[in-house]
Amino acid sequence: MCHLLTREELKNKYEALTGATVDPSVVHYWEAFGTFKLAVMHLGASFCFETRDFNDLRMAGMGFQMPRMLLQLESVMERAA
Amino acid sequence: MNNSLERLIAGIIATLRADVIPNVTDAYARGQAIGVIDLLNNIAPRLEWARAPLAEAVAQRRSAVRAVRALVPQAPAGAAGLTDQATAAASSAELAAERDRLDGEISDLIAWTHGPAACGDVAAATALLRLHVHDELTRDMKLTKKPLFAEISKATGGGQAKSQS
Repeated sequence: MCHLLTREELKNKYEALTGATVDPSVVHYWEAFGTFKLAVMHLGASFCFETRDFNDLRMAGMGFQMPRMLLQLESVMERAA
Repeated sequence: MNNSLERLIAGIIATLRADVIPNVTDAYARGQAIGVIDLLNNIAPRLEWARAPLAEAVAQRRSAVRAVRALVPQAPAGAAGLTDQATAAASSAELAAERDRLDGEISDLIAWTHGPAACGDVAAATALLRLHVHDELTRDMKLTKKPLFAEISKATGGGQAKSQS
C-alpha cells in the first residue's frame, strides 16, 4: 500500500469508515484491474514521449519501468485468479 | 516500450533548453548544463543500444517461437525475419527491429492460441509462451534501475506535466 499502511490496516480502516465488509477476492480483482490500468498508462506515456513531442522526462522514465509493471501485473493477476 | 535512443537524447536536450537552463540562476551551473547539451550533441551520433542484450533478446525470442511452433504447427506463419547470417552481421538498430518483429510474432501466437482456430498442444504452447514472457521481463529487470519517481515528485511538489503547445 505504497508503504503508507499495511494491507490489513487499510482493510480495517476502510471497513470502519464505510461500514462495508471487504471481500479479499474482490480486492484482488480491483488490484489487478488497477495495475493493468497503470501498465497501460506507462505504455501510453512512453508512446507519447516517442511520437508526440512531449519532453517530460518522467514519461520516458515510465517506459523503462514497463518490465517491472508487467511483472507486477502478472503477480496480481495470479493472485486474483 | 523502449524509447529510441535518438528520441531520448532529443528529449533530454529539449528539457534542458526549455525547462532547466532558463531556471538555473547560478552562472557556473548554467554553463555546466549547456555543457551537458554540447556533450549530448557530440555523443548522439556515436551511440547505439548495446548489441549483446539485443542479440540475446533475439535469440531467446527465436528459441521460444521455434518451440511453440513445434507444439502448434498449424499456427499461421510469421513475417520473414533476418537469416542467421544476417543476424550475426546485424547492427543494433537491425537487431532491435528483429526483436520487435519477433515480439509481434509472439503476440500473434498468443492471440491464436486463445482463439477458436487453436489446435495442437495448445496448453503446452500457452504455458511456454507465458514462461517466455515472464523470463524476458525478468531478464529486462536486470537492466532496470529502481525508478526515482518519488524523488522527482518530492522535488516538484507533485507538479504536473507542462501543457504541450
